[in-house]
Amino acid sequence: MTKREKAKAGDGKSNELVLALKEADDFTRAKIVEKLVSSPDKAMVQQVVGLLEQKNTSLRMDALDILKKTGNCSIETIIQLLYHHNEDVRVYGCEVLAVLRNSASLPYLIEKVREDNENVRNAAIMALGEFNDRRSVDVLLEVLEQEEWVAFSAIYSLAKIGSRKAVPALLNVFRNRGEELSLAACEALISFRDSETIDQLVDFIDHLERDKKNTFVGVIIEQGDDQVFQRLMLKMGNDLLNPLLNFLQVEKRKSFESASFLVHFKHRDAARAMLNILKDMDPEEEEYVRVLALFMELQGVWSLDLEEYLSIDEYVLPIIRACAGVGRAIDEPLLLKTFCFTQLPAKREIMKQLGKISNGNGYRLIREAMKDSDGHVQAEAVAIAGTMSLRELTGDILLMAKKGYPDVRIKAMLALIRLDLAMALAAIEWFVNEGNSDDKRTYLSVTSHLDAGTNYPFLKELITDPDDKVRQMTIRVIGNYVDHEEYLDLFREVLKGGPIPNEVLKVIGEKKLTGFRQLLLNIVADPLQVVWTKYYALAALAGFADPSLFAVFVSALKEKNNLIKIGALKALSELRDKRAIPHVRPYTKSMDQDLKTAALMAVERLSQAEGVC
Amino acid sequence: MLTGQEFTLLKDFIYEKTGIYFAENKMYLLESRLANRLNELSLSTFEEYYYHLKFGGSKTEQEITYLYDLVTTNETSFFRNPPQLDAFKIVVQKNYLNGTRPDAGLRMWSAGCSTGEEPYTLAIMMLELFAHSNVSLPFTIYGTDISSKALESAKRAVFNNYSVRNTDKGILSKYFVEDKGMYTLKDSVKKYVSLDFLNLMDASSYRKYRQMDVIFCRNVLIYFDEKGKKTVIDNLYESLKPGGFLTIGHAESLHNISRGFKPLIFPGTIAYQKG
Amino acid sequence: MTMKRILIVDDSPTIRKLVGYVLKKKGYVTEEAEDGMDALERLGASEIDLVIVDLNMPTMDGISFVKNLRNGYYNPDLPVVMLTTTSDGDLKEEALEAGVNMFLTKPIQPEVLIYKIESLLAGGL
Repeated sequence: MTKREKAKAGDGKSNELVLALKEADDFTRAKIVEKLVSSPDKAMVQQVVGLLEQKNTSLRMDALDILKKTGNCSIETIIQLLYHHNEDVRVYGCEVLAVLRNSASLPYLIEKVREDNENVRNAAIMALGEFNDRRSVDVLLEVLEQEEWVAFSAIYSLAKIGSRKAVPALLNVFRNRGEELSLAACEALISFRDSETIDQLVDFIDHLERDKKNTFVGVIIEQGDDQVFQRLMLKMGNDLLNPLLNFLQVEKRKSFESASFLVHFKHRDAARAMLNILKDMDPEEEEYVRVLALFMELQGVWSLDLEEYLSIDEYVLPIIRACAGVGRAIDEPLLLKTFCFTQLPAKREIMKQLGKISNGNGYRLIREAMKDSDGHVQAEAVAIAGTMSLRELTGDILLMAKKGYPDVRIKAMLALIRLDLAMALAAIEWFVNEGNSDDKRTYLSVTSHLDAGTNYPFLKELITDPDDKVRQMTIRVIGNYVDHEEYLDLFREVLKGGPIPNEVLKVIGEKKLTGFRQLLLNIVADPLQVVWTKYYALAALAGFADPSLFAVFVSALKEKNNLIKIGALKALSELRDKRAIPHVRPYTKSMDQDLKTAALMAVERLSQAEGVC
Repeated sequence: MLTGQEFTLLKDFIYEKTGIYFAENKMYLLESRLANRLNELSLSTFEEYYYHLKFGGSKTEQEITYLYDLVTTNETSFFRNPPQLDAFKIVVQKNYLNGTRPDAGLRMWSAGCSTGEEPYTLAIMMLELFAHSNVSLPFTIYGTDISSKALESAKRAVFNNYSVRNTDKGILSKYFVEDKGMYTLKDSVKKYVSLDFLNLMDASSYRKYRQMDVIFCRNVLIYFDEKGKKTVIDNLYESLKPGGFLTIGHAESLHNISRGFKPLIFPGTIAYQKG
Repeated sequence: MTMKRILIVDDSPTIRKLVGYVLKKKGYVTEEAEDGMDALERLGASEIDLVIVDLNMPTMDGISFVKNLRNGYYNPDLPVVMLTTTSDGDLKEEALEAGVNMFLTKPIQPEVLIYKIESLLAGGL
């Protein structure tokens, strides 16, 4: 196709689409708009402009949307709209130019500020605010003396442009013109962030009568400017709290902003307002933590009213967290009472923080919590009972270790080990010899808290257990004792059949058990070995830091499987032998992201290494 | 323990598989969710866990199901957000009990049902509507979720008193059996609810869920980014019959997400109708 | 006496602000929305006593908004004032049919705005 034919074809396509736009329903229209916006051209813009006079409002709005996104293709067409006979279209023209921000259009917009029709003038004034261009300032300053509606828009445009030249005129409006303009000018002046100007603003506001003062204070708070707020505080002191609270109650404000204003007041009402903010927030959110930190700053105020706050269900969670954060203990009777009457999330929090907020040993509370139906609460309770050495509860803990949620059983077992080792061992003996799989797995989960010798007879029993999962867990545990003499026979049992557990390989590498070197080499060389086993074998060999293994790693790099390659790359980088670099470098260009990253890291580490080049 | 690089690897992996999006400031959240799993697998770094997910072979599929359990935590309960449920009642009464009765019965779907409270709430509401109006209608409520652990719990249908804290006492005694502070849902309700696994980002799995009259998708959109939300909402749109209804989370908005739905306002809430 | 809540719907932030200030001066509480869809969602979230809505807005224009409002289950009689420019005369009929109660021509004169709102809230139509 020739260029002209192509252009025509292009026109044809957008022509069709624009026609389709007229007939389409909402859903389809949205899709057509997307299409038109993605491939803009001059002809299309010219056609879409025609849609601006359509009766169908949704269609007009879509046309406007398209022009705002594609108008730069034919800026002259858009500028022409400013001279259309229909006032609405002239307004649309200003709106589109405001979004396009093409500097060629600026002089035309400035001219429009002087046209007869007020709506068009207003639209032009608003548009000028979008161009960060001082050429507009003079004409906008003129508008400040005109009718309220356009003067209002001019104020905001001047604020957006930010030219200090406007400050004296704006101060004048602030002091002398009607309320709405005064408020707008106040906002605008704040945005200039000039200390002297702000002082003048604050001084003027302080002398207003109460209702007007509150309105202006509202504007300042809405702006969210801490600097200005602090200056206001200097003038008004605690008198500022009430307008602030009033404002926060009526408007729906963003949490952290509001809290950061409230924190300036060492006053119960401020503390309470912050609690009200916290109760509506999601405790898992990062913002919650930030607001809580501010709340904690008012500790001097709220810590006097703990009893009152804790009697209100929604306050319990934030209060508990705040007390934990500042290290404020709560009297046990109060804490117990709160625990018994509050909801689950707060209960869990109390248990979690008990160490920090209990001023006794928490005995009664822990005992209560151990009976709770919720697993998390029970688990925390029994864990603390262990740490606090609450011997009186040993009997209850034993029962919890024998039956219940797995997580709770494990924690109970751990506590028992601390409190009464003999009793714990008796229970374990029973689990291992007469218990079911759950019992055995409970024991296996706490092996790390017993020494190798104590565990030996139990592990010996479990290694031949009929239950697969039990056996696997046992093997994993034994892996940790791979360098213990007395475990040698158990270990041989482990190696007898099936794949070597990864845990074992890890320990071999960590403890540099070079006696297993040949075993590892066999694994790496064996084409039938499981991929993960090879990976961990490589990692273990890398742990030996043996330069003679260089060739082994290089050869592993040639394996097909990416995981093995990654293992080899890591091993080579750990060896710190610079000869590896040419082998590794090709992979830095790999299409596979994981390989590429591993290779890049390897090259970096190798380049930093000293030694053989 | 979780490094920035490991976080990026994992969050990208999760995003690819589930559409669930972890923003930068959620790094600590992801770490705390996954830490236990690392212990269970005896892995020492998050990088290892990542490779475990990518290269685990057949074990990967299994591990991914655990991953789904871990990254979705749903705060759900019976009769949550009454204005939305009131709107549901109005919709059912006006459109189905008094209006067109779909021959195949009413088909409803709780997308992201977690531990089951939502679909079971809807079922109870339907039964209550029938009881009070002497009119009835065959109906099925599908509940789907990405967490198999949550689904198992939903199938067991045993709930603690925190789950039922907003449930009317009369309803509790009528539809649940109480035992030591735990409430088991009666079979008379369970039989209307059909629970299954579904990953909302997997378009092909929606095949079974077509021609729906009502869809509730309240707990799920918060996990997705803009793109993910669009995908899910577009898929749900296709799953609805023309004239079908959609309810989303009260803090959510279809504002920049979809124009195919007609908004329908109710006191305290808004629902959407497929045009 | 509780304060009346007015929802201002217009895609221009400056107009929302101006109307907002005019209303607040008279003791009304205001909320803002940038288009019809946004407005419907806000109605779901707060108790609104009156809506001021512009005709020309993206995503969902004023007339579509009013249609949705009148067909919904939330206070279908909620008073609505629509902002228009003088050229929209033909559309006024469509808007009236959709359920708009009163019109206000731009440029907005604050006294006229307040007068119309007060008469609507007092029950006059």
